Order: sequence, then structure tokens, then C-alpha cells
Amino acid sequence: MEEKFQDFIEAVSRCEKEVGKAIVGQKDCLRQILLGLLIDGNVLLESVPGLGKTQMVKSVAKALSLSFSRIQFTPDLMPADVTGTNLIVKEKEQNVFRFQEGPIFANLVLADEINRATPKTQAALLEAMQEKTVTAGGKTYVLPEPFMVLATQNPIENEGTYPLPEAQLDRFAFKIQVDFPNLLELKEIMELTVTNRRPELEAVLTGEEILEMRRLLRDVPMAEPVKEYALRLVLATHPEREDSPEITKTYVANGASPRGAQTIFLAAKARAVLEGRYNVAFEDVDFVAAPALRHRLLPGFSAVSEGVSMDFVLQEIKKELEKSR
Amino acid sequence: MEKRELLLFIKKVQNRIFLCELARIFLWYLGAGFGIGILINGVSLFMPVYGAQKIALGMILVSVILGAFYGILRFPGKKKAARLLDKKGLAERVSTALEGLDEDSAVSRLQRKDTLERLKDFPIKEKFPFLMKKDIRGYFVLLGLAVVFTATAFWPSKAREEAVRQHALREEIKEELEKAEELKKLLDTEEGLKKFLKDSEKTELKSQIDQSVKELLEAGSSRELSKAKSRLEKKVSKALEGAETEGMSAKAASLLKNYMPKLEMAESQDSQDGQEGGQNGQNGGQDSKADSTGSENGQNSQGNGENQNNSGNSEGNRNGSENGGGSNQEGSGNGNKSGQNGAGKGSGNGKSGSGKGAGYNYGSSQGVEKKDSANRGEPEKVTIPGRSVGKDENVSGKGDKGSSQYIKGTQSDGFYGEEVSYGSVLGDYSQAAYEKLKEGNIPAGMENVVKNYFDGLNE
Repeated sequence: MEEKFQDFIEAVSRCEKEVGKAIVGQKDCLRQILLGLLIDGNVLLESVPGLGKTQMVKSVAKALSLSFSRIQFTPDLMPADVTGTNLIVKEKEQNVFRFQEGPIFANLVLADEINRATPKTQAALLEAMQEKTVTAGGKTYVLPEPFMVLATQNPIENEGTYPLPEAQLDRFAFKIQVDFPNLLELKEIMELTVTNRRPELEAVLTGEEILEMRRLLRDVPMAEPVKEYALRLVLATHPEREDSPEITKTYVANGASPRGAQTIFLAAKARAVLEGRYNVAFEDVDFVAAPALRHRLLPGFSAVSEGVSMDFVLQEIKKELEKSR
Repeated sequence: MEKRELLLFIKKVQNRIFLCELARIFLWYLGAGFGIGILINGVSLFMPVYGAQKIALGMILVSVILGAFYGILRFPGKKKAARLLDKKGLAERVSTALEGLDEDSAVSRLQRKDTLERLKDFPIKEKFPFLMKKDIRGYFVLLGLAVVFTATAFWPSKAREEAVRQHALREEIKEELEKAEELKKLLDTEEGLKKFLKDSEKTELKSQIDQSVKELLEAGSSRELSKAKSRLEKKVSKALEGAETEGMSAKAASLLKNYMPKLEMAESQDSQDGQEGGQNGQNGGQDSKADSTGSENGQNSQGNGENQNNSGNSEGNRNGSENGGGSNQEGSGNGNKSGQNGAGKGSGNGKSGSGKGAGYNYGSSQGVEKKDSANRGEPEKVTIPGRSVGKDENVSGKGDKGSSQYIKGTQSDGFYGEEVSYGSVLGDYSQAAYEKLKEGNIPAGMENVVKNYFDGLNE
């Protein structure tokens, strides 16, 4: 068992190293993407254009020996363009309907600029993201395992976009904020992108390994105080609760769902293992709390008008809860 | 095995945390105790609070005991100890291992193993120090409080002196009130008094005693108390004039004697005998055949009781000795009424005895106790001539025959002297002086001079 965990840690570490060849910095970002993959979740990457979101997803796909497809979401993209459709094909001199799988039938699906597609098309992803199945023509097709949707969106260009509905957002395990690189990182990015240096990425993690890791992770123990802390964190995002912090009551319109708690638990377990531990610590919860909850909180009027981000609210909640842990 | 090791380690940590916590709580409560103590001491510097230092010390003691009690109550449980351990960089390993102690899954075993490995080199003492660096300011504050407490405890102030004075006064008043109450009861119960008092006189005396009790209660100074006492004595003496102790119980006689020193005592002969021994000392190196008669010396003895605060020295057996001369002569006598002369309360204590002695002038059967009091602190002994004469010539060295004096008795010549403590002498003379002051024999302008002189001697 110990060897398995060690192999697991080494594999993830190798993967990070491989992706690191093509992506400069963004270590937390990459770690969160891998955590999303390990906990069987989907990830939404958000940043201004040009920060390497798409590049990062592509690099991750290369570092994993998994099938990869990319869907560029546009306003005229139809659900069938994503999921696939029944086509009439000639088989043995007969015309029959055959289901033509859409690009979603891959292990890793990059839904680029997801908020540019219409809600109808966005909704086409719901079943796939949650149930890992696609239903077309009254028949349900199972998606390949492991399956993961990595979506990107641009937070500033809102014209001609369709903000993701809450139900859709909730299906993303993480919403990852891709930060702007610092000077050193930027310098390195230039070295990589404006020269003939083309890093070759090696696939270091197979689908089976990932599935095995997912099973292992679920056995990682979590102490009661840590569990309580994670759950109180989720509960504290609910403004309707009397014992919620004042900041929640002021800035949050709607709190995180139990799916948020599930994500925190699983992701914290995965993170603990990646840190070389066989138990979850408070710091694991802290690490995964923001990406797991930020998109699950619905900002209130005050938050929007005052420009208060949900990250700030979560930070304040954590500070409040840290005292009692 | 892993389970046992883990529990043992947690137990160690529990004990360590307990001791650290106890030490910290102890110090905090000690600080709080010092704070309260300083407050009490501070107040006692400006307001008369009797025994403020003792109260302050008591508060510190109570604080410390409370602290210890609270500390014991805070003995950490295993879970708490595990969580505190985790906070020292173990990232919830111990808590998780403790919770999963009975789990037998592969991951749980792995987790316990990992935890134990981490605990192997865990420096308990370093991570849980008795004195924490973050508390260093607190320790200095504590030290400061201790210094301030000590300073305030011993800082002299008028309020403190006043507190002692008031306390002594209260005690004296209490004593007098008890006596007065006893006297009232005695008037009703003592058969021997019935022949001296009619019912109407008894009622009158009782109301007078009640009046005196009020005066005693209102006494705000020893002077007022003395006046109140004198008035009560006068009232009682007047009402019971001519009374005799014969037929009275010993207790009643003794009580009445407090108020009526001239009261005829049935056993007066015994007293005289006792006094005889005390008068047989020789002074100034001259032989004296003190053949004092019982009656004469008895009279002298009585005189002592009336006029001098004799400090309980006339016990049954007494040795009179003299160092100045070539020969010593022992005088001895037996008596069981030593109390007549021995009532002077503070005769041996110098300061308190002078002028304030409750038994001044009256003696009582409790005189022996006063002697004990006189012996405390081993006061200096001086031999003085008999003071019943009450003249200055009696003072050692004043007479024309040096420091000795002869009293002519009917049966023998005997030197009339006694060895008493220096404090007793001082007390007697001080008392006499205060008495003169009370009686108004000293010009008003000189009252303070006299009073200050004797106060000074008594300090």
C-alpha cells in the first residue's frame, strides 16, 4: 500500500514537472487542475485572455496519456455539436441511424470560452459533467473514464456571452483563477514562446493509474476536527444562518451547496497525499476551499456594488473560523 | 504495538501540557492575587484597615489555590493533547491517528506508522516549554507586582497606625461590654448581692449600666473609653457601696472586683500572705530582716492593687533578690489572691500596658495571666521599692539611702520591694501620668507635653 501511495505521489510529481516544461509558474493552478482530475471533478479556469489557460489544459492533456478534445464554444454552437448526434448511414444496403459521438467523447475535454455558447449548448454539458453520460435519441452513452471537462472563460468581456447558470457552475469542482505571471515568469514565458524552443512533453500518467488513485484517495482518513472545520466553512457561506459571519450576511446572496463540501473533502484528501501525508490537515482544507467554493457563492447586491469578491469573503470566513479550530 | 506507543506518547504530552498549563495558570492567578493584594495594601495606606497585610496575603493564597484548582480541572484530554501536538507542525497526524486507533485498514495503519515516525524525534520539552517567550512580558509584570506588593505591605502610614489603634479600642470595648453584660446578669442571679440592693436600686443600676454600655459603644478613642469605664465603675461602686464578697460566688466576686477594687474580699488574708513574700526582698546591699506581718503587708498589697498597676507580679511565691549588696535575702510567702495586684493588663508589655491596661487599678484573679503576658519578650527586670507608699522617694536612687528603702513592719523590719519588669514600671508610671491627665491635675498647656513624653517612652 505504501508503495502505491509513493508511486502515486511520484506520478503526480512527474506530471507536474512535465507540464512545467510548457507552462511557466502557475504551480498552484496546475496542482488544482490535477486535484480536479484526481477527485473526478471538472474545472473552470478563469482569467483575462492570454494567460495560458488553453495552453495549460493542452499541456496537461499531453502529460497524461488520455484522449483529448477541444471544443471552441461560440454562440452558434449547438448541443449536438458537443454531444454528438444520430446520423443516417448506409449499412448493408440499408439506411440506419447511427450515433456519431461528439467531441465530448474524450477523457479530457477542453471547453474553451464556455460562456460564449448559448445556455442550451452549455446545458448539453450538464449530464456529461455530472453523470458522465450523454443521452441522444433516447439512448444513453457512457463517456470514457476518466472523464473531465476543463472549461475556460474570460471574466471581462461580457458582451455576447452567456454567464453560466448556478446549476452548471455547481458541477465544476473548482473554479481556478489564473493569475498574471510575475517578471521572472514572464521572462521565462518569452523564452519559451518567442524562440524556437519547443518543449517536448511526455505522457507520464495513464487513465488506469488515475482511476486507481481515485480509489485510493477515498480511504485517506480525516480527523473529526478537520471535517468539522470544512463543514463549518461551507455552512458559514450561508447568509440565512444565524451563526454565519457578518461578512457573509452582508455580501453573499446564496451559499455553497453540499457538492462544495464533497469537493473540499475529496480534494483535501488528494492534496494531503500529494503532500506526502496519509491524513487530511487543516491546511489542505484551506488550500482547496477557495477554488472549491468561490463559484458556488452567489454575490449579493452589496458585493457587486462594492466590488467585493467572493475570494475576499471566503478569506474572512476562514480567518473567523481559524480561531475556533 | 503502534496503538500502545501512540497512547504512551500522548500521555506524556498530556502530562507535559498539564504542567505547563498549571504553571501558567498559577502565575496568572498569582499576578491577580498580587493585584488584589496591592489594592488592599494601597487602600490601607490611606484608610484604616486592620490587618490589611494579612488580608492581602490571604487573597494571594486564595488566588493561588483557585489557580491550582482551575489548573487541575484543565487537565487535557487525549484529544486535546493530540490537537495541541498537531499544532506543533504535525499537521493533524496525531488527531487522525488517535481517532483511527481501532481502524485496521491499510491506509489507517500507514497513517499511524507515519505519525509514530514523526513523533519519534518530537522534542516535547522544547515544543511545550514551561516558560514561553511570548509570556516574558507577563513575567516581568509579575515581578513588578511582587515588588509593588512588598513595598505597599511595609510602607508605614498614619492610617495603618490608626487601624491598629482602632482595633485595640474595639477589642477593649468588646471586653468591657462583655463584663457589663455579665454584671447585669449577675445583678439578677447572684444571691449574695440581694442584701445590698433593693429591686428599685437594682433596676436603677441596670439602667445605668445600659447607659454606660451605650457610652462604651460610642467611645471613639481610648480616652473616651476610659471615661466611660470610670463612670461605670463609679456608678457600680456607688450602688454597691459597702458590699462584701462573702456569700458570693467566686466568679461574681471577681467580676465585681473589676468595678469595685475596694470590695472586701473574704479571702483577703491569703492575699496578704502572698504579698508578704514579695516584700521580703533586700535592696542596696543591706541586710534586712523583713518580718512583715500579714496584716500590714496585706494592707500594702491592697494599696498596690488600688493605686498601681502591679502587673501580676505578686504571685504566691516570690523571690526578692538584690545584686548590689553583699548578701541576699530571700523572702517568700504564699497567697492565693495574687490577682488583686496582677490585673494590670499591659504591665509587662510596655507600650500597650501603659495607660491602656484594662485592669489598671483593679487587679483581678486573672492576674496570673498578666504575668505571663509580662514574661513575653523577656522584658528587662528592675527591682523597685514598694510603691504602695506612692511617693517619689520610693523610686530607686531617690532616697537618701541610695536605692533602698525600709518599711517598718510590726513584726519585723523588712525591705519593701519587688522585682518587676521594666515594662511594668514604665506602664505604671505612664498610667499614673495619664490618670493625672484625666483628672485634670496637669495644666492644659502641658497636657500634650506630658502625654507625648510618655507616648515616646512607650514607643
